[in-house]
Amino acid sequence: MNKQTIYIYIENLVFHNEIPTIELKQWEKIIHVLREINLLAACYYRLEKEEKLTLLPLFALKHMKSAAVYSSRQSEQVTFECKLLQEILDAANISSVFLKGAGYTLRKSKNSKGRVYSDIDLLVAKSDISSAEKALEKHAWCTKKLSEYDNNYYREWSHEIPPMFNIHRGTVLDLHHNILLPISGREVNVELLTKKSHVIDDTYTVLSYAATVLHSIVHLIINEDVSNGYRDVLDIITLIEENDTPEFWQEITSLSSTLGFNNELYLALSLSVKYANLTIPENILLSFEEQQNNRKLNFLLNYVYYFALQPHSPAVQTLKHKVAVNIVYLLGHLQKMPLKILIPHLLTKSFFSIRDQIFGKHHFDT
Amino acid sequence: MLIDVGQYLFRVNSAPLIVKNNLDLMYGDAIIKKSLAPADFTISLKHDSLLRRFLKPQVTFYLGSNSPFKPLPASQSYPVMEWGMNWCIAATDFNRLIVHAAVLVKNNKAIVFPATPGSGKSTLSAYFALSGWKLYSDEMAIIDLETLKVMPLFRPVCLKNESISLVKQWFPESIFTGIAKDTQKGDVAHLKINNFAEFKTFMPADVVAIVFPKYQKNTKTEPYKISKIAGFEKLAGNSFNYNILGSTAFDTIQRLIESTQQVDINYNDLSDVDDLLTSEFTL
Repeated sequence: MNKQTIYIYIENLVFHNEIPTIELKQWEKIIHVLREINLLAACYYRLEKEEKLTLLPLFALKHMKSAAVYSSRQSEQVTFECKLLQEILDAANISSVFLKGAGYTLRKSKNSKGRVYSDIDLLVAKSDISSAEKALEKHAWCTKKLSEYDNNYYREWSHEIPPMFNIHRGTVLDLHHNILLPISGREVNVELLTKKSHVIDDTYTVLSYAATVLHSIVHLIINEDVSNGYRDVLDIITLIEENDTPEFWQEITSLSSTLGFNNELYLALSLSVKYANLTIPENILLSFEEQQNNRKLNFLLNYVYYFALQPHSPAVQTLKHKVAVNIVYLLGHLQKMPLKILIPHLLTKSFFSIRDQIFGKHHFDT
Repeated sequence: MLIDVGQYLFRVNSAPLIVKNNLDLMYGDAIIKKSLAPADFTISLKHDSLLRRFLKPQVTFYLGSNSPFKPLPASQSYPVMEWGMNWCIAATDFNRLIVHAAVLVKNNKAIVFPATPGSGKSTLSAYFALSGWKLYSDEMAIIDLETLKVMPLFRPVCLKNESISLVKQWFPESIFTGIAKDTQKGDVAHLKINNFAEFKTFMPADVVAIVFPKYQKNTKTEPYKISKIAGFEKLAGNSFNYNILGSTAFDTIQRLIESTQQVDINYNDLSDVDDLLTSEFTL
């Protein structure tokens, strides 16, 4: 099987639950790629829902099932961790919103089944961030030791503080006060984003479905790192399919206009159509007339993001994909930082990266 | 290069020549050129960087394109490969209970020796395996969640420090890799036990006892029955995936504890332990 063939099988399996009709031996590559892009468990639950697990060869089933066991344990752990976090912040009188993975798990959206993640994302008001940090520190949450450069990056330019971790359990927490870096000039009005938030189990606050999808989209498009891009596209598509109502579309388009993310919404929806034939209401498509005529945007769509978000595994990566990933790396940074900050930042990062290539990554570890 | 370790098939994409030679030595006929079955893991061991190849060379283990460990000195290449293979199994197989233990089998009855500190697990594995027992694993007991049978693995024994020369002394004909010095576990060498054709005849076996050996100078070899609760705690504490499997692991260990005996054994002579277990469990 060449890379293109593997890619097509993966796309049909991930987005359309189509089980490839291939020889047993060829499943090796399929399972390998799914493991690399963290979608083994998601495939298990999606196929289970469609009652297609019995169609899998035993080899594929055992690997998917094992990953599903792991992810279901992780989801239990995250639920437990969220409960403790909520108690700490409640006691300190700080309101918070669970974002991304933890949010999916708490609201039990379809995309949470089989999803694995490395941290919990929590949003608090900017004015509450230091009291939240202090409250958490009292309960065994510490800040990771960072280089002075990285620490300043977080404190001065970022929309989140350096990652915190629980010293007993090693869980990692990203504490945000915005969904975008202030330095990008595109900081959002958090009040608007969280206005229609939902409360789950009378306890946890999560964004409304429309705000959740929009946040997912902003996070996917305005980002230099797209290594989990394929999984993120699946999130977006699954969330939309689960909430395909006129109210949802009304809310997401109005929110994206107000917050200034129409281009990102257009890109993400178009990508969802390209990958998975997602059905988008006619009136929504029509509302993107400006974006449809924007040649630069369509170039980005068809030649950059379409390739850059494909699975990050050498088993399917082509030259087009690698070039696109590098363009997104630059674009992601450009969108986040003005040039006078970006150039020194990239020079610093590339100095360390070249140094690490020569001496090996951990040569300077202390 | 494909390696059939019994329960898993590894595809080795690239590795330094010295590692390939050691793999040949340790796995022999378990190394196959072509297979109709898909490989579970694609692994490689790579040099860290060009300059590093000459200056304090290091190697990194990869499963696919991800590396679970920091690079280690190239002199430890072969142990790093073996530990990487262990990691692949322990970090991805949640379909069975996996206990950090040696498993030795006689008359189709298995004894599990969890890796408690001071147990001398690997020395015991080597001694028993070269004295008529079947070695199912030196490192991990892979236990089926339904049948509770333990599965055979085709892997060498990893010996440390003084036990290397001890085993060489006891069994001068045994096949060893070279010694990797100053690893995180001290000096390490791997020892080949089974040949693959013989291993192929090993069947999943029922566990009859869980034995916690403790080496002590100047002691008489004696068994002590321990309570079911203590046995449960020790077994769970040595399980790699107990907290991932959650209640499934709890149930499995409970059934295993109820269907087996748990014994502490203080020893200073392995042949006494062999005799004791053979008579105690009519092996």
